[in-house]
Amino acid sequence: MEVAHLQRRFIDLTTTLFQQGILDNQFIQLQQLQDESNPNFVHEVVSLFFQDSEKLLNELSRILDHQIVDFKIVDAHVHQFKGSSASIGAQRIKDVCIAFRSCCEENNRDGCIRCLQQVKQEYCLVKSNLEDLFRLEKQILAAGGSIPTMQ
Amino acid sequence: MHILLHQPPVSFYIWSFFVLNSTIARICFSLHCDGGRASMGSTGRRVLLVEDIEINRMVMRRLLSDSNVGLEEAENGKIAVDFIKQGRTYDLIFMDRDMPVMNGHEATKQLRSLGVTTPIIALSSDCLPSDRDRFIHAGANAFQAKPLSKIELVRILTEYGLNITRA
Repeated sequence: MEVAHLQRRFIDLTTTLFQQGILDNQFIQLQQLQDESNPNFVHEVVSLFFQDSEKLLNELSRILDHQIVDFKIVDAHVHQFKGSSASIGAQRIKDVCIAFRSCCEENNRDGCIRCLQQVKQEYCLVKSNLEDLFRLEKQILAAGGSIPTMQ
Repeated sequence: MHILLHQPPVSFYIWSFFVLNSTIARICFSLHCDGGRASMGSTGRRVLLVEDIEINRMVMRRLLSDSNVGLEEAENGKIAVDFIKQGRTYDLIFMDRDMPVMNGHEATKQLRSLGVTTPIIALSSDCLPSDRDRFIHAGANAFQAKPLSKIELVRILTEYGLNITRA
C-alpha cells in the first residue's frame, strides 16, 4: 500500500483516539521519547502495560468473585492500574480507575464490579486500537516511510 | 620516642591497587544487586527514583537517560531508606506517594529524621492540596503531579542544579 496512504491512516487513527479521549497527551510524550537509540520504546512500554494489565484484571475478577472482599487489596491493584494507565496516556482507563477507587473506599462491592466491567471494556478498546496503530507503523516502515509525529 | 618511617615495599602498592579496585567493583556491583537498579552518569550526580510501578520507572529512566545523571531505583520507601542507611548519597530524590511496604510520606519522614538533606520531590497522580501539604509537612521540598513530562523534569533538574544535558 502507498506510504502516504498508510501515514494518512495512522494520523486519522491517532487523531480519533485523542478526540475520543482514549489516549491523552502522555502518549505523545512517550512517542517523543522514542528515537534512533530507543526505536522500540513505545512498543516496549505498551507491551509491558498489556502484560501487567491482564494480570491485574484477572486478579481483580478473582477477588471480586467472592462475597467477602478485601477492599484494600482491590484498591492497591486499581491504584497500580491507574498509575500505569496514566503513564501510557490511557486517559479513559485512568478515569474509570478513579471511580473504581472511590467504590473501594466505600467498600462497595457492586460498585467495584461495575467499575471492573467498565475498566475491562476500556482496556479492550485501548488494546485493540494500539495494536492497530503498531500494525500501521510496521506497514509504514516496511514500505520505506517514516512514522508521522503528533504534536 | 622515635617514630621510624619506612618506605612500603612495591607489593604493598600493588595490593592496595587491587583492594581499592575490588572495593569499587563491589560498590558498583551492589548498586545493581541490592534490590535497586543503577546507571552511572558521567557527571557523578545521582538521582534516586522511589516508585513501585515498573512502567513509571521505565518512563523516568528514559526521561533521565538524556541528562548526565546516574539513576538508582527503589521499588518502595523502605528500600530507599535502606539505601541511605547503607551510606548511599544522592543529589535529588523523586518520591512516589502510594507504594507497598512503606509509602512516600513515611519514607520522606524517615529520611529527614536520618539527617538526609537531599532535595526530595514528591510525585503523585492525585493533586489535592491535602496531598501536597502532607508531603511538604513530611519534609519534601516540592510536589509534582505524575506523569512527569520532559519539560517538567528539565525544570526540576535545573532548579536543583542537575541539568547538564548531553550534547
